[in-house]
Amino acid sequence: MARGEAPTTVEAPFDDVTVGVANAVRELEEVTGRRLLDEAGKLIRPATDQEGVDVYVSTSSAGGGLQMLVMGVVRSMTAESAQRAALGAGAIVMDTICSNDRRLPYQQIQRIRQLRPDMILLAGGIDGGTVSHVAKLAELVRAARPTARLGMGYRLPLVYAGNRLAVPVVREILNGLVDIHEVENVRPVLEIENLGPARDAIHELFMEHVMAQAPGYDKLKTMTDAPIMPTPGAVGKLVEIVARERGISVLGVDIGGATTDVFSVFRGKFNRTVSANLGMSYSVGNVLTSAGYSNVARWGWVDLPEQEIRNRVKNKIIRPTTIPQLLEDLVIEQALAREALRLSLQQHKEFATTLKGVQMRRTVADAFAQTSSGQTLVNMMELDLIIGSGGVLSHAPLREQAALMMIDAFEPLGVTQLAVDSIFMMPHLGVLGELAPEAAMEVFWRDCLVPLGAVVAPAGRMKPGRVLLEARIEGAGEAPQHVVLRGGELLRVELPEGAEAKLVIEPARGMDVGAGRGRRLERRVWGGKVGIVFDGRGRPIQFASDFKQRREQLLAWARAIGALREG
Amino acid sequence: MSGQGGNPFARRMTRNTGVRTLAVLAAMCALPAHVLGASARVLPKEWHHIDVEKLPVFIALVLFGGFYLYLYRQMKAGRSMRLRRLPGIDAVEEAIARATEMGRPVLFIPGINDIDDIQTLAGLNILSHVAYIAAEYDTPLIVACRRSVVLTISEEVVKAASLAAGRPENYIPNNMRYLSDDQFAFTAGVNGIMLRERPASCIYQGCFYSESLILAETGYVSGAIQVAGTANVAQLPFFVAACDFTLIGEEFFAASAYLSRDPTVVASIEAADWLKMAYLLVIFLGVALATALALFPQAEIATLLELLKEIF
Repeated sequence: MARGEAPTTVEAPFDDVTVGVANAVRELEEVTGRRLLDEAGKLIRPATDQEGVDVYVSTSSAGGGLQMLVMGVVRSMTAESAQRAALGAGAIVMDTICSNDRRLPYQQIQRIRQLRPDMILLAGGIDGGTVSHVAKLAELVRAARPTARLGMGYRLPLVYAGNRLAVPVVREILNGLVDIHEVENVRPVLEIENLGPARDAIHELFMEHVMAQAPGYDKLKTMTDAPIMPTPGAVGKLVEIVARERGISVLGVDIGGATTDVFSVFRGKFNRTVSANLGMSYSVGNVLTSAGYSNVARWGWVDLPEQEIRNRVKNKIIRPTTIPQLLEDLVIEQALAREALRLSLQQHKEFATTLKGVQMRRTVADAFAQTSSGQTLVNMMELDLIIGSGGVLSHAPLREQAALMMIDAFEPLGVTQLAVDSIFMMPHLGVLGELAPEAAMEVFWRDCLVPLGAVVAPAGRMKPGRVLLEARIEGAGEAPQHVVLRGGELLRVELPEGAEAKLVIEPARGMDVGAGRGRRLERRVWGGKVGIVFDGRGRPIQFASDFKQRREQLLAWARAIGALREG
Repeated sequence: MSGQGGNPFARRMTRNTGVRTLAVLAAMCALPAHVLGASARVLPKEWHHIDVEKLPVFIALVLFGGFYLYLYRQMKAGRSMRLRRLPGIDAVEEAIARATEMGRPVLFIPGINDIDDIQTLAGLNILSHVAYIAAEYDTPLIVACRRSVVLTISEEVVKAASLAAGRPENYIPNNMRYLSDDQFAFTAGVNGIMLRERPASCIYQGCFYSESLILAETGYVSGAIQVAGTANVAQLPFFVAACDFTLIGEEFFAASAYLSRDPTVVASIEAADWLKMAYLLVIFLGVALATALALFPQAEIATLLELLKEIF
């Protein structure tokens, strides 16, 4: 496995993205010693023993990726489904306009005009449902006369995925103004969500229209063996493939400088959210504001005054590309990362829900527990694998720190495997998965993922010092190991990368590790850089209120997991 | 009330049961026994006009009033009070949103009783909320009434709510329907609306009797999301089984506080809860005294227990 990288050449003076691609491939040639480009700078194909490539795939996030405007009738119904389709296709949803967004029509028109999206997704009404609301949305677009972000003189693509009966009305209103592409309704009935056709249309239009406007992309398109995908869309594809192949629930997170993407597959349903203002450099100030100082400060064991911490965060906003030089800076950065991840997951939980507005069937037994529709799909107890990506996780000075950040932020329950993406290869494997799923999976498990190990966290009422569970680990050493986890503790058991162990967990009365309260659980886990972590800190994690005690607590946890190496 | 009346507590008081009883009462009221003094051997004459039988109501009133004033002041001073989620009320917006997506109307029935029924009033309060949201979503609302007075008030409620939502045009007079004063003629009329106009959501809030299941079943078969609310205990199982969400008993009355978050109303809800807690405490005290009496048969305990029985 080798990696080559080069700065983008999509902007002047080159104005050709393929120049940068060729530079990166040349670096790869130097690393591998294999000739990949011919004299003309084109990829050598077909591959032989000494030179060339079998397959070339590409993803793109040029110019901030695919930026879309989503429109639907009701925010929690068709607009939300449309948003899911756009996010699933890898787009950044700039705004969602709907009938109940509490904005007046002139404000909505103004907003559409300001945005300049790459594409619009218009949904609304079930098949045979409302026409008037959809017509009103189309009229908003007509009044706004939006122009595309890239390219001059080409009509903005609009994917229509709403009520079939409204098609003639929409066509009549928007005739000649936008390039309309009809696909199947995202909500043909309220009980069913049909996102596939809208997603495919978005991918297709991304290639045909959006990418066609970017410098050099027409050349790049002829080089690739699979359609170019928006980078987050490709990551989502891979997460879906992993969950499907292994039959597991997966949570993937990519924490960037400006945004944090969260991907999940629970009960076979894929969801993606983009937390637009939660990131580690450009948006780091917003992390502090959204989480609140006290929430960030609770993770910091360095004794710095509040103003000093705020100043350091502001310095990071001014110089977003810097990395921590001092231990204090690292502690502050990792505290912010925890909060950014926590808030992103919170937003993801609110978005990844069952469908709203469906008719429910009840019995008299439901009288006192009338659950509503729109319950979150994200169940941390069901979760099997967390994959972390992004500089702060993938390039943390110690892998143990990455593991601790993910455990602190996501607070997994039961038994959950942890891993980080080594060199941000997931997008490419997502596209490769379309052509050769087996090869993509093999590379993913062997080279892309850096396994960190597993975390065992019981759910239930935690009391400091009380025994929460007892576990026997078979396969971690020559003899089975016995672990007793008490409230407030964090324990680590080494289990090397590639090794597998059998865990037999006996939770205490009232505690649950996935088999039910007080029920024994047997599970196979794989090892990693950290091994097996037993987390008895409670959910939510219980902190001491006094700073000195909390400092000791945090240091003890960091030392227990190996995230702090003195000397 | 005469001291020789039927109430044994009053009898005992007037027969000069003695300082002991009054001392117990004083202890309960946290008053020192000596305050009563020897002159308390007989009940003062001016006490005789008190209807002791209604004492529990008086105590409840004083307690409730006290709780209410305290909580109201607390709320005014900025203390937030948590109201438990009412899925039935939260579901109203979802039901209207569903109707919007389906391009169909919402049907509302404010019970079948007249305006003098507190349940009808509570139902009309919820109608105001429903009409406001329906106007916001620009979705037609049909209101079916059994009583002409209820219709007139419903019209005003819907008109005002539509206006408040900024969509006065959402009030459509033809959608405000008086069907019949006869219970089952009304029920048949509502069923006809459900089958002909196929509302996507049916909301039943008020007093219902045997027509509840007929309405809810027809609504279910027509594929509507249904939200019901009634204080008629006998009808609740039918609504629970056939509807998506049901406001049960007091939840139905608490809906006003839940929707308005007005300190005056919210404080009354919490004061009522505190009063229930006080009653529970009295019950526990009674159980404890009865148990103690069985174990240690002493006159003081017996008197105290008797006193408790008489008061409550």
